[in-house]
Amino acid sequence: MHNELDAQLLRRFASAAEPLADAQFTARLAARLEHARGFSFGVRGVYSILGTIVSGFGTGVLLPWRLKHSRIMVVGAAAVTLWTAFL
Amino acid sequence: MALAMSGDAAAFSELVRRRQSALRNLLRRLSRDPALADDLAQQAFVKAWRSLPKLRSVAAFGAWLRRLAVNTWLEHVRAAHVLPIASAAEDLAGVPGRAPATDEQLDLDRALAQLPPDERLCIVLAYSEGMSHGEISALTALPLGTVKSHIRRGGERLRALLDAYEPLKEQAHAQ
Repeated sequence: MHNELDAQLLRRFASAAEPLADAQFTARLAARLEHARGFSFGVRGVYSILGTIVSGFGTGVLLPWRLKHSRIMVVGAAAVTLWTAFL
Repeated sequence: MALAMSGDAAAFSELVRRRQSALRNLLRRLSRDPALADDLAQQAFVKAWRSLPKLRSVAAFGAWLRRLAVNTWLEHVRAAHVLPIASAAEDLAGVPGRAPATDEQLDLDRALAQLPPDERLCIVLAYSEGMSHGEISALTALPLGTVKSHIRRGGERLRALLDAYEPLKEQAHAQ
């Protein structure tokens, strides 16, 4: 929908829109995307390493605790199961 | 399109090849400087590459890409603190026969550059992209009434600038 546009200006704009050669532009963009992809992989790599460290610490802290309080854990789990069954 | 959305670089390159001319022309109208326009177009394509998996509708790609380009330009304008140059057209129109403030090479892009950024954006989206007032309002988040007045007043200013340039071109040809 054109809302009362000036015909002369429309012609001006139409003639100003020339097709632009793509070779140089796309080559530069490809290099830029390559850089962006490399950066993205780097960031994801850092996140992955941090995730592994946090997970290792978590497991290391939680596993002995779970073993130490295994009786309480079993009783607690049974209580939750019964509670949900009769709810 | 589906391949590009799944991260296929070759498919995305083909999309770039097909769309680059239109996007660069849009940004050239907005920014006047071809080198800056190309840089902004590249930024928009990089953003598109990163956000493409989030695109919901394949059919909306063109409008989505245009929105990315416009937002990239707006970010640049805000970051560069580009100030409106609203008085230039009135200066030209107000003094008969006066040479334009710049030089005899005043063309469409230079005339557009005399408009304040918001007005220029509305004019370019309406005249260059063929968007309706409502679509421009939705894209730019400007109220519909503001879009209408920007297009009306901006169009008048642009005409005044281009009309003032015509006699100067004729003089230059005669000499």
